Parts: sequence; C-alpha cells; structure tokens
Amino acid sequence: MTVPARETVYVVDDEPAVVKSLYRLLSSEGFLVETFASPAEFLERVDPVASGCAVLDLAMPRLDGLALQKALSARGSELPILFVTGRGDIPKSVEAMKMGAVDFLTKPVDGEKLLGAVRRALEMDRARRGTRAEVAEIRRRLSTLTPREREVLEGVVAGRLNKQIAGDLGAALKTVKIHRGRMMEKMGAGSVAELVRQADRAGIRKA
Amino acid sequence: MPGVAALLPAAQFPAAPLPAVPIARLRMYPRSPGRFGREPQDLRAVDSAEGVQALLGPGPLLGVGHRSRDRRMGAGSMHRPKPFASVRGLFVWHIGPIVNWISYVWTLSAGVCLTLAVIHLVIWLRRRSATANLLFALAALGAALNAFVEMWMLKTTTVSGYADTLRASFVPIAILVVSMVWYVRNYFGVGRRPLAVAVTACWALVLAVDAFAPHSPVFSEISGLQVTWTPWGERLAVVRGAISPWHNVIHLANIALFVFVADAAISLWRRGGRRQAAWMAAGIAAVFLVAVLQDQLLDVGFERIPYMMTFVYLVMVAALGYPLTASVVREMEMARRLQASEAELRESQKRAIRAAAAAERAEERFRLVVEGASSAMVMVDPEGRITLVNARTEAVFGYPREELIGVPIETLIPGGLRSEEPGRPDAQSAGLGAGAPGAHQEQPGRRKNGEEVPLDVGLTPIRSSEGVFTLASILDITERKRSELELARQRDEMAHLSRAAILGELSGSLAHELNQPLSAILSNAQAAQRFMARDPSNLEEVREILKDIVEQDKLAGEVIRRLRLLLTKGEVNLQTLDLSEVILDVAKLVRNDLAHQGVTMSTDLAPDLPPVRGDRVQVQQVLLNLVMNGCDAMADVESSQRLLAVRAGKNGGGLVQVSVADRGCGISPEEFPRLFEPFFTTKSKGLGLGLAVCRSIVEAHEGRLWAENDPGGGATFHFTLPAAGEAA
Repeated sequence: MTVPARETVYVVDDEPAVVKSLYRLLSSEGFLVETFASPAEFLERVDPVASGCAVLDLAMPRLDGLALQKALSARGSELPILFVTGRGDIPKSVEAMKMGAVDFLTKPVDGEKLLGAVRRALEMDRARRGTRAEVAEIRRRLSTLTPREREVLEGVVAGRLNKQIAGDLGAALKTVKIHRGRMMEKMGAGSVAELVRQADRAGIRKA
Repeated sequence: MPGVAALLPAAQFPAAPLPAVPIARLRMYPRSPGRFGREPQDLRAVDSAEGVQALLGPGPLLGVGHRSRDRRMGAGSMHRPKPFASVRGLFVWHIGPIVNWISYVWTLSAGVCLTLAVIHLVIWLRRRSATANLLFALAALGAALNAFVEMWMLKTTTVSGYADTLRASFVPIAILVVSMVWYVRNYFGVGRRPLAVAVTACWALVLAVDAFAPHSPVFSEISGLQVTWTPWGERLAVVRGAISPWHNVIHLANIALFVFVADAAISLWRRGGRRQAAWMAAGIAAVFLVAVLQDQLLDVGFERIPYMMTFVYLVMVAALGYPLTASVVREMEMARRLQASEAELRESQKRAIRAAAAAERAEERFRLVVEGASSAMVMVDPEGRITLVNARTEAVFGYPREELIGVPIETLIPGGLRSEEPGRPDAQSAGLGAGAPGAHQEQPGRRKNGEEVPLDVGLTPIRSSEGVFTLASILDITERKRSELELARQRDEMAHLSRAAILGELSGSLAHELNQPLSAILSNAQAAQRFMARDPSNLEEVREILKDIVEQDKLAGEVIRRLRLLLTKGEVNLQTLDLSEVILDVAKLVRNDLAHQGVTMSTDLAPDLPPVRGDRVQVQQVLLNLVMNGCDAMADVESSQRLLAVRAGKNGGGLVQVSVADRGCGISPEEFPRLFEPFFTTKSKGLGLGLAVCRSIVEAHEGRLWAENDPGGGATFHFTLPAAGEAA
C-alpha cells in the first residue's frame, strides 16, 4: 500500500489541448496534477486508494465519464469526482450526481470555479481520509482492551453508573473502577463524552 | 359483139337526126317468171335501144351496157338498189347514172376537180385576199366542166349535138388554162408576165373564134359523126370534118402555155422549190405527152380513142394544186395547232390566274397566321431589314409596325439574328443557310423605351426568288426567366433549410467542438494570469501558454468558418474541389457527434483522387447528410459495431465516386423505392428532405446518387461527381 505523499488531481480528457490547459491552471494553484488522454489509461494507472480528486470529461469516445465513474467505484476507489462537460446534458449530470459526483462544471470552465471545486473536493477527500484514520485508531485501541474492559466501556457508553456496571457484571465496585481507569487510558479518552464520541465513530454504541 | 361497129352514113349535117343504132344481138332471159311475162326459154334477139325499151316496158333508158362474158349475177349484185334485169350478155339500167367506163372515170375526174374547186372557192370566200385560191378554184372548175363537156361529147349521138358540145368545150378549157397561168404567177411567184398575157390573149382569141365561127375553132366543116367502140366495148362518138385554120391559134396558146410553165418550173427549181417544180414539170409533160400522142393517134387513123384531155387537165390541176392544197392542209394543221396552243395558252393563263389567286389566298392565310401567332413574328430580308411584323411584335417591343418596316433587325435584337452553329458568326449574311430551322436561343432584346427584355428567338430560313428571308419567332420570356429564378431560389432555400436542419441536429456536437478550444483558451489564460501573479512570474510558462491560446483560437475560428460555410445562403459557386479535403472537413465537423453516438468513422481516400468540380458547401452537405444518416441507422447497434466507412476513389468514365457505408440494419424493401422522395423519413424527428435535397444537388452537379444494401448488413450510399478535368 503506497499512499502518495501528496494528494493528486487526476485530469482525464480526450482533448490534449484541454488537458494541457487544465494542467497548467491546476498546477498554477500548486496542485499536484496527473493527466490522462483516455479513461482507459486512467483506469489502468490510477491507485484505487489514491488521495486527491478526479476531473473527468463527461463526453469521451468509447468510455464516457459516467462509465468511468462506475468503473472506479467498482474498484473501490473513493476519489471525489468532478465532471466537466461541453454540453448541459441534464440526465447525465443527474445520474453523475446520484452516483456521488462532487461537482458538475460546464465548459468553458472558469478557472476560479474549477479551482474552488477542486479545493472542496480535496477537502472532502481529506476529511474522508481523516475520518477513516480516526476510526482505525479507535478500532486499534478497542482491540487492546481486555474483554472486561470492553464490557465496562460498553456500560459507560450506555450511560450506566459504576455501581450499576458492577451489578451487571457481578463484580466489585472497586474492580470496575480499576477496569474503567485502564480502559479510559487505553482509549485515550479524557472524558466520558469523548469516549462516547469514539464509540459512535467506531459504531459500537448500542442504542 | 364488140368490134361490130356501124359507120353512120354521112348525113346532112347538122339537121338530120342519126338513125337508131343496132346495139347487138342479145340473148336474154328473165330472172323470174312473170317479170317479163315470158317463159324462161323465150329468148329474143334485141338489136336496138327501142327494142330493149319495148322489152322492158316504159321508163327512161339511160344507158346500155354490154358484157363480153356470161355472168349470172354481174353488175346487178353490185348495184343492188335497182337491178332492172340480169341479162346474159346484156344489162340494162332503167334509172341511175351513166355507169359505163367513161361515165365512171369522167364523172370521177369531174367530181375530184369540182371538189377542189369548191374547197378553194370556200377558202377564197372566207379570205378574199387569197387570190391564188380563187384562181385555182376557177382552174379546177374549168377542169370539172371540161370533164362534163367531154363526156357529153363522147355520148353524143347526133352531129349537131356533137358540134354544140365541141363549141361549148372551149369555154372550160379557156377558163382552166388562163386561171392556171395566173395562178402559177400568183401563187408560186414565177412565170413571165408577157407569156401569161400571151396565153390569156390566145385563149381570148380562141373563145372569140369559138363564138363566131360556124362550127368551132377546130373544124371548119363537119363531115359526120363516127360512132365507134373502144377496144373494151364502150360506144363513143368522134366527129369527122375539115380542120379549121383557127386550129393553129389553139396550138399557139398551147405553146405559150408550155413555155410559160416550163419557164416557171425552171425558176422554181432554181429557187429551191424542187418538188413543186417537179410537179409542175410533170403536169406540163403530161399535157404534152397526151396531146402529142392523141394527135399522132388521130393522124395514123387509130381513131377509136376518145378525147382524153380531162385526165390531162386533172393531172395538171392536181400537180399545180397540190402545193396549194398541201399548204391549205398545212394551214389547217397549223390553225389547229394554233387553236390547240391558244387553248393551251388560255388554259395556262387560267391556271396562272388560279395560281395567282391561290398564291394570294395563301399569302393572305400566311399573313393571318403570322398576325394571329401567339409569339412575335418578324420577317427579315436578306439585308437584315424587317419586312413583316405581327401584332404581338408591336406588343412585345412597343413599336407601332410602321416604325419597324425597313428598319434593321438590330433595333429590336441588338445582337442580331444569330444561328447557333459554330463557325457562322453572322448567319444573317450567310443567309442562315444551314441553320437548323426552328433552332431556338435566348437573346436579349430592346423595347422602344430602352428596356431590355429576355427573348427566346427561333429562326426559320425562307427561301424565295429574292434570296433567303428569315422568319424569327420571338417569345418574351421575362415570365419564364422570373419563374426559373424563383425556382432556383426555392431550390437554394430548400438546400439551405436542409443544411440548417443538419446543423440543428449537429448543434450539440458543434457546441462541443467550439467549446473545446474555448475552454482550453480560458483555462490557459487564467493559468497565465496566475503564473504572472506569482513572484517571480514564470514568463517561460506564460509564453508557452500564449502560444497555445493562439493555436486554440485559430481552431475555434476554423470551426466557426466551417459552420458559417454550411449556413451560407449564397449562390452556387462551382469550383475545383479536392474531395479528400471536403471529406476530412466533414469528418471534423461530425467528429464530436460521432464520438457522442459511439460511432467510429474510417476514411479510405484514394491517393490519386482527381479534383472535382462542384460547390463546396453543397458537396459537404451531401456528405454530412449521408454520414449522419449512417450514424442514425446504427443507433440500435452495439457500440463496438458502430462503424462508418467513407471511401472515395476513381470510377471509370471520368467520375469520382464517394461511398458511405454503415453497419446498420439496411434499407427495407418498402423503404427502398421511396428513399429519395421528399418528406419520406423513417426518423421521428426528420423532415424527410435530406436525401431528396442530396439527390437534387448531386444531379445538379451532373452526378448520380444511389443506395444499396450490403450483403453483410447495413447500407451503402454512393454518389458520383464528374472529375474537374473532364468537365473542363
């Protein structure tokens, strides 16, 4: 798993001149840009877990933007996708948005708009990638807990008092307090509220 | 029996009548019983005329004939009207002409002469100036009278009768000879006047003697009448007596006549009238031969011949009258011919009048036809001047006809009347000779008000005796021109509409086509701004960007140019086209649309493709139509199979052929016949004009557009255009 050091903007358009101009525009903003002349080339070379975003031309021969979008999600890629199109093809754009396209821009694209959209997409990607890392940390922390500590955590998250937890577990109050202390330390949670948030992220909180 | 002759006894002359003459011993028997009241065997000898009279009963006895041989039905059968009796050895006529030998011949001669006399007398009566005819008539009359007198003389039975006859006989002879002499002078223009006068004087003397002498100029005394029989059995009477000294006057007259005629004949001969001279000489010779012969015969005592001067005169009259009669006949013939030719002349005059009337009618009709013709008719003479116009001409050109007659045709048609034939720049002077009659051509004409008017001029040469006229049939084609222009305008409009429709269909794709460079330009420009804003600004990059911007801008301009070309509503502009270029242009136009529809287009253009002659926009239009039809045809086909092949190559016969093949479902048999009909379409949105317009465009380029289904599925549309080299 080689995660690029920086997030990348992938540009796919069959028109070399357009690709070139977009490259210039995006790189002038300081983005790392990779260009592809055809969707097939892009599919072949892109890393499914790459970070960044994709700017796709909607109308391309053989494999158009929508098909590419489908192919990407089929590969498990979660790259935010920006569509750029020459024509206001409403049914296609609706479909694209339904499938999670971040934005839909018509050519000729205003530079600021595009940059803004790319920035937002990158943020989204970053956020997506950030959330994923936090959950993974919580899960890692959770996995360090002993079964008893896990039971205590579930009790705490459920909002029960120490005494009640001791009663539920059939353990001494003192023992519960020790487990709770260790659990809180392992989870890195300074307060019950934070623990609850972590549990929420990890999806273990029981209703 | 013949030969039995009785010499009459010399009787006292002139008083004593001659006694009855015993004719013959005759044996006769009647043909039928009861006719004579006798038995057939009752034969009787009759020896006198009285006896015959007595035997036959009352009735005039005019002649007695004698037959030398027995024949039952002799002359009787020849003279059916009155065979009085058929008698063996004797035949008798109760009535009828004297029919013995003398009677026949003398009468015949007299008849001939009399006829001639009457003929020429009539001629003279009708034409008093014809003195020759009168003289000849007199001569012939004399001859005729002479014949009668001579016959009478021969039949005389009494001396006194004979003497009277002899005297009378000089009158016709005198008439004959004198008339003949003057006739010769008058008609032939020959003969010496003194001789003629001498002949006339001699005969005047003879007549004088004849009138006053006791008997005649011949006899001073008559001794008797000798009745004799000719060797062939005719009875005839010859007088006997002393010759009078006056007889010499007759000889003198005869000699003068001979000299006169001989002289005339010689003159005629010399003058070249040989035949007439020969006839004349023959006549003279006959006269002398007979005269001398008779004299000699009488002298030697062979007296049993009659006076036969009649024949001599007959021959003479015939000989001398022949030319006159011939000339009369000739004249008659000529008159007949003259009449015939006059009749012919009259007929031909009539015909000419009729023909003239017909010609007049024909001309009148011609004028009416020309006048009533719906086109303007102008007749031009060989010098190019107008000789005839009709009412329509006045209407078309605005001139009254008086102003047009005699005016050069160039007044109406400034270009003159030209034949279309090459090498005959001025058919007018060439008389339009070989110009195809009725050949039409368009020419500008000029109205009186100076306005130009388009004309259709048809020329017909009309040959006449005065040279080759030209009949120009002129049609004012202003209306036609206008409608032609209107039609062309409508066609162009239609083509334009059709193009506009195509562009409508293409609009999305064209927008994309334009968008590409525009968007590249925008992005480039904005990138450049950013590079410029940087510190330090990346000028190298900016330079690159500007270069690209220029390039992209040109591209966009190109797209717009193509669009504008297709949308132009201009006139058809024929030029030499590189078909490859046109095809590639079209390919660019539709590239995006094809991409959008997932169609892959391939082009296969022959490298040696000759240029064609045509209108760029219209040829593009045809190609666009075919390409887009092909794409539409493949809408339901799997996208990997959406292949469109455009091929162009040489086709035999100086043609370039372009084919557009799709892989669609092909053309159904029901659609096939209506494919190129206007408003026939299988598309939901189509007008159905595309292919109809395409065909009219291709045909206007003298090409052909057709379609066929491919065996492997799909349809191919072909069209041909003439290569520019051939067209030029």
